[in-house]
Amino acid sequence: MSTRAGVDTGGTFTDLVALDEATGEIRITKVLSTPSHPSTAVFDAFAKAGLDTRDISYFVHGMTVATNALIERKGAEVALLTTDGFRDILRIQRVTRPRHFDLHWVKPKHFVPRSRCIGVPERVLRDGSVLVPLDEERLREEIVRLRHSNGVSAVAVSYLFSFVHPEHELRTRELLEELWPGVQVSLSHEVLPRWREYERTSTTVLDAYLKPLMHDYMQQLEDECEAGGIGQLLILRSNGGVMTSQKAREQPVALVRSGPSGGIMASSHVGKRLGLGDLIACDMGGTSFEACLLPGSEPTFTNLEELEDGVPIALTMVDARAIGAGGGSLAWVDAAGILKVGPESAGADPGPACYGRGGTQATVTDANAVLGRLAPEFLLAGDLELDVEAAARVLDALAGRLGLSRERVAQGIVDVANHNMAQALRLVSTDRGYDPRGSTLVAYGGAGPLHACELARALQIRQVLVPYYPGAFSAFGALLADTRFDYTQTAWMQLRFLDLGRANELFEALERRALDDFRREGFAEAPRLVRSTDMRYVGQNWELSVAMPGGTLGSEDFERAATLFEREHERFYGYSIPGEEIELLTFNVAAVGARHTVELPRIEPGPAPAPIDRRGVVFRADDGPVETAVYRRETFPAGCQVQGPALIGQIDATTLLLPGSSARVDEYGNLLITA
Amino acid sequence: MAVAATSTEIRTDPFLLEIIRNFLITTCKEMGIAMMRTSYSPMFNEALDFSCVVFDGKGEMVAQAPYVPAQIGSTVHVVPTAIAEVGAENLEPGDVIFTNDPYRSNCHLPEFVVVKPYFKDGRILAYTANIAHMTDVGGMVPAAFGDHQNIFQEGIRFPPVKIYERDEEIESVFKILISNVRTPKHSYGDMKAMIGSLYLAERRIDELVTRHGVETFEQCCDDVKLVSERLMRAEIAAWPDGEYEAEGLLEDDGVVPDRPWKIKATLVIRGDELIVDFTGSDSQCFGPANQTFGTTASAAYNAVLHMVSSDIPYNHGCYRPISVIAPPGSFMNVSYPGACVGGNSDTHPTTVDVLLEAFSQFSGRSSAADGGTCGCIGFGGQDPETGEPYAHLHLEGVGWGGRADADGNDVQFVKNGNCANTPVEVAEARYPFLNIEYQLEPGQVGHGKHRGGFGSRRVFRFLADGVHISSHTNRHRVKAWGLFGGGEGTNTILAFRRAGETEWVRAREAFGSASYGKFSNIVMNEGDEMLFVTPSGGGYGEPLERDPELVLIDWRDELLSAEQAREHYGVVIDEAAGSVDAAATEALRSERRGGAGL
Repeated sequence: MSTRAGVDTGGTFTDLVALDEATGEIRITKVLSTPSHPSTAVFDAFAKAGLDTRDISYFVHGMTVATNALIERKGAEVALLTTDGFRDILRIQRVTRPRHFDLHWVKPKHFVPRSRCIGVPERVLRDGSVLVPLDEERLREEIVRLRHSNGVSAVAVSYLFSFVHPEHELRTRELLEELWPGVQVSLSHEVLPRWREYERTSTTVLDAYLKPLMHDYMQQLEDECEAGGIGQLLILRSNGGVMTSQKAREQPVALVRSGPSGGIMASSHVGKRLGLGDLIACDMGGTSFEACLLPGSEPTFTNLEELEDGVPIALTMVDARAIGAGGGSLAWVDAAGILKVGPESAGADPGPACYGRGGTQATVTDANAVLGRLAPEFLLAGDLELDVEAAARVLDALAGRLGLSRERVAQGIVDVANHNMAQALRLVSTDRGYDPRGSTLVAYGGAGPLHACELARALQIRQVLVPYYPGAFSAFGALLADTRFDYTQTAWMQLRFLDLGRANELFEALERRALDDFRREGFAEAPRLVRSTDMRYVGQNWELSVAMPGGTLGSEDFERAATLFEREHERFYGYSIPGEEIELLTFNVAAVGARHTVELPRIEPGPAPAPIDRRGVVFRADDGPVETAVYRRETFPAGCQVQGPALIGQIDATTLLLPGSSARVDEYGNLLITA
Repeated sequence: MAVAATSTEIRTDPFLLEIIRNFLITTCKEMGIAMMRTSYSPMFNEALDFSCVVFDGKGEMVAQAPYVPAQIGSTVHVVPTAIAEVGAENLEPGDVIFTNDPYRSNCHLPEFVVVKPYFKDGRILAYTANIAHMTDVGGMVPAAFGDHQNIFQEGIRFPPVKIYERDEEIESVFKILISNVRTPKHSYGDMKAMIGSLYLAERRIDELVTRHGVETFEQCCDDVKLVSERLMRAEIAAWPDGEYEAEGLLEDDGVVPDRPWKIKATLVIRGDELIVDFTGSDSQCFGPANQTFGTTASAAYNAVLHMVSSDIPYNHGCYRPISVIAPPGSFMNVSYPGACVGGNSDTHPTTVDVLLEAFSQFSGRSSAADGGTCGCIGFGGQDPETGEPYAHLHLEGVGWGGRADADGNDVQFVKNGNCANTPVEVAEARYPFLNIEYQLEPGQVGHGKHRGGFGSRRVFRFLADGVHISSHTNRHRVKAWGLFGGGEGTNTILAFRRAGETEWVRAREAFGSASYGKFSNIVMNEGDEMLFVTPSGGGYGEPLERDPELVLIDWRDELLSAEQAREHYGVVIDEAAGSVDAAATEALRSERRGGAGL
């Protein structure tokens, strides 16, 4: 028996989707996350699903561990080594501001204080020649000094032009390892071998910031997977592809959007299968809310991402917007007496008050519980008992301070959270001038289906899709991820003076590395190899990627590439310059593993089941409770229709249909809601 | 031509209005990304010294993106002027108008303005426009900035002319242009990138109009302007009626040594209208520090927009309640053939700071003065490898002024622009110089309850002979002023040393220029070095009121010594413990306050 497992670790819950390769059977499990030791929850999930870990041949893991460490600034104390004379690069940044008429914008502080930014005498020139050799004696002194300063556990090294002459950074790592065993090191030419020193340094610093945490996590996970006899462990990265845990450990900054990319890949898969066209994916879990636009059901990517204004991560990642809003988001009253929700979360521990684990502050989930919007009998298959009275108690405390009724406060918390989430949806749609009204909102995560109808109405979106297992949708996406490794070699040459032999050698060398890596990682099948080159007009600063054919290339292949480049230039930028000199900058090979197709299981058609209960749910506090039908999601056959108001409970989420909304179930068990 | 009068009520569905408004802003951003990715000069592809705007068929701005305030403000005037001069009735689909004429409300010669009409059903529904700082415009110095005395020394000037006709380049115009600049290949590529961005924007607008129809689009254009106008008028109406005056000095004009030039501004607030009156400013100067009318209007808009909520959509509606008076022939409105290249780079920020001082008389949103210079230093010569001429304009961030709620930001581009620094690795890959250092200049700052931001310190070393250096920089003599007891910022330092020498010498002493910061064609050779320290911002509020913990953070960050903490802030730091000695600080501060006679 062989099982493929996808696991998504969020701030509150850890979700598992397990696919039996022989039968196609899918098993879903949800357990509470264990933030202090995240792999515990992963194995809890395997155990709870009744999986023998020795049967797991392929395990893809997505997570928000890195994301949350950055958002909450809970990574390592980092020191930065730069070329002498450039220690303030993190403070100077690129000297621009995000809004051109805002006198009150405060330039963000980067992740290393000035006193731990240290210049090291060395200097490499643009052609890779050495102007100032690395001063090893000074470097040794600085390392010893840093080692004895408080709390530093990771060092980022970013020297000028290291991407053309990496020797100084490599030697620096040798000395660090010699003088400071156990320190984590990130080298800029490995993290991002590209010019523009600020973007490279910023990305390298964030990598170092995450490294001690992610290194320990990956190590534990590897050890436990090995002990459990799990076949292949892969980590979902920010661009929707996967990497080995070894690579993830070496370059944790590639995991910053690991969590969201699972759900986005799954949304794309479902959207294409159902022919839904444009999608807006939204994932509301316990801690965070993420939104992404998928025009034509295709995910969008960016490599101009900024963690906040002025703190770039210059790696390709899914173009998702995240805010601190989830079921566990805490409600609080600010100094002006205004009700606020988030970004702080009660997380998995203690969690919302109604989880009965000692939570004493009101959360969004507590508000929903008081309003009767949860169908607790189904959640976590009944493992999690809701203590609605505890929720009422913490809400009453807030109600007292605000001078409002319990229901009004609960309603207020839900409204504020919805407002914040709608803003994030606007950031990826209307704020970019994109009209969301023709798109389908794909709502998932444990809390997404509960808020989906209200969010859809806020953006005038008519159709909402709630996947079959919304709580585990990101884990499902992890299973769909391509195994894709990218290889790049910078080699500057003008097309006019192209050295064909060298160009062929470069491609072949990259492909050999790709095949070796696939073999070493234990993949049975050879990957598909996809070539491209990055080209530009001589004198430009930015490149366009152009696809190249496989095999031994002749000059006619490059002429075709030049034509393709001109066409792309015209298409993207509105013009081309026929006859202008073109240069090649990088040779790229992507090695793409055999795609794991996951067939969505179909369900049998049938008539709508009768509600299992009717109860009062508060939609507007002023109106009081409205009698609402309660359904069990798992009993829905294909083709059945339900009218709102309704509560549709299932193991991993509750879907709320507002009065006036309706839903129908498609052949794959998805709920298609007319909001 | 039947044009309906602008309506006074908002007719578009608010949801749709928001989408279309943002669509147009996104279009401007996309134009900018296309410019960045396709242009040739680091001025565009790294520094982003350009602005992309969309105007409606009436010639009124409907959208802009957060690029360069100085350029955006001038488009309010130069775009309609260019259209009127060529004549909207003479435009056809595929035409592009081009001008760089400062006397037609442009900022200065290097700002190249291109405007393209968008036609639908035979009618002009919108104009897409791009205003971008071209590195070289011919003239007496590479990269345009120096101590010129008239427009002819500054470079080549184009009145509004067509540069494209029905999608075809007008070859003669391009030939004249590229025959008169030092970098023909780059200038041609940059022009193509600018015009390419107009085509891109036109495609986007066409998608929008096709989706929603002509009528909705036009109504939306009227409505977004109306929304902004109302918000703007509400802000102005909330200000107390009256007249508020302020003055400031620009230190010199590069021609007459040691003679400062006065900027005088009066804010006249009447109900929901504002007049910004520069009457009483000095006559136009002999060097290039003059502002054109476009620059002055833009500086006024810039200051006002800094004083209102940043949630107001920026478009023509914002400008409607504002009138600008700038007497012709004055420092604030140069007449032909006066020079003006530096008015846009260094006089504009000072004008804004003078206005902010006037605003500080009734508004808490204001701030102390900033570093007041774009740090424009031009490099030119012949590439030692290819033998081809090159021209590069260096820009630099400065310290900003302290404000009511926070310290001024460190090393940030001055208010009239929003340009990025060019990465060391990009500049060195292209030009024959090295950066030996680029870091903060510790200790040097305008002190205050909220201190000014720090400037930067950069040292260049030249790798070839015959590098021509020209400059138009500011704050070598007049420092950024503080507000409400905050201290002055610190000066710019621009100095040189020949290979093998140890002393830094400034341009006046070393080369006999009239000014420390404004000069032309100093020749640097291999191994020579140049030091450029940018000014810090002024402080806001009394330094003795500064939170001691903030002083401690600066000490920990090695930006302030314990002696400086004591001297400027009355804060005693226990260096061994790494903390503030609260009792000693309190004692010292009360002694100081007493000593000051309070």
